[in-house]
Amino acid sequence: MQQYRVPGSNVTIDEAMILFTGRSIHITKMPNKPIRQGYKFVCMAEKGYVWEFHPSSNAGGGDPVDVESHLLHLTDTGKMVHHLIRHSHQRHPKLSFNVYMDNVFTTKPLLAELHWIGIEEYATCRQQFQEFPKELKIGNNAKLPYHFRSGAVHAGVATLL
Amino acid sequence: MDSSPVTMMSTIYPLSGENSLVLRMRKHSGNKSTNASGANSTFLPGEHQQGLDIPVSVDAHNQHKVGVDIADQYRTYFDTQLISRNNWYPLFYWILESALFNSLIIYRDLPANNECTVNHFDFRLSSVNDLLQTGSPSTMKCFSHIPASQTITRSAPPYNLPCPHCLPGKLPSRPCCPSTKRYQECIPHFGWRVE
Repeated sequence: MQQYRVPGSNVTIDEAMILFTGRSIHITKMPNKPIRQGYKFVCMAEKGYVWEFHPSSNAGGGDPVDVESHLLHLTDTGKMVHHLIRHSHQRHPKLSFNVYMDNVFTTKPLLAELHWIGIEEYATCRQQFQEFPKELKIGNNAKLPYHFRSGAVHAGVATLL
Repeated sequence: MDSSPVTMMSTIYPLSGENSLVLRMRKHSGNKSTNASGANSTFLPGEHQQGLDIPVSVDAHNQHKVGVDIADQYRTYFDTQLISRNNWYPLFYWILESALFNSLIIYRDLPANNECTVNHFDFRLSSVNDLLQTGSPSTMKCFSHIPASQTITRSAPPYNLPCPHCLPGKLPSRPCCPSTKRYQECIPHFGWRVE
């Protein structure tokens, strides 16, 4: 059915939970979320149209994805995101699109790799992950004015605070 | 930017320059929120919202980071998931619902449907009828041993009959028709006859 539709320029990558309270080694438990227990899928969607999805599992550290040898430094979730995007990019090789992600997936090597294959992306990220530029780190209790902005560019990836 | 510091990574948007800011209405943070004393200093006393320059990247993120959430919301409206003991059934229902909503989006995007917006309920009801018709024994090979004279065809919609689920004077606990207007028009799902 995907032949009848062309991806728009802005797509989202996010997690979707499927409620399942039975027993399986693949369930994920998140007691404070609306769906507290179930299967977790990583989805690529655009305005409600689900383009791609990939199951993630806690058993064995995530569902293995076939990646090329130069991508082995990515995290498990990063490999999944790269797999989803590359899959739809191969289907529509002439199209380029912007990907919006949240802070679960974002790492600097992932963004650099996706930029390399022609996908632009935009994501919120965490201060805690290891490649976060040290000069942008602030403490938890810092008082900042409303319009405080700073940024840095490393390896083609701009980090904005 | 926000009442609490937000960190982002991007390969699209510029950090500085003419086009890096856009004017949007922003709201006053709660007095007890994180970093409220710093963030609320730009607002006058008693002012609840104000047009402020925010980075283009933040504005784009607010607009476009909802793709999966829209799909989640539409999927909850008409939930097909049943209670089951098999651990693969929820996956099947999830894929079924995603496929149904994807087809609704494609149906709405058809050039012929530009004028009218297709109701989600009507689409689901007609897709149920079409699926039943597609799965009739005349098209299924496993029923090929049944003589052609016994094939089941759907009768014309008996609009004058009430739906068996919504009999007059006795409302079901969970009505299958959302509005009273449809009670007389509802096609009985079991109104199939053997010719």
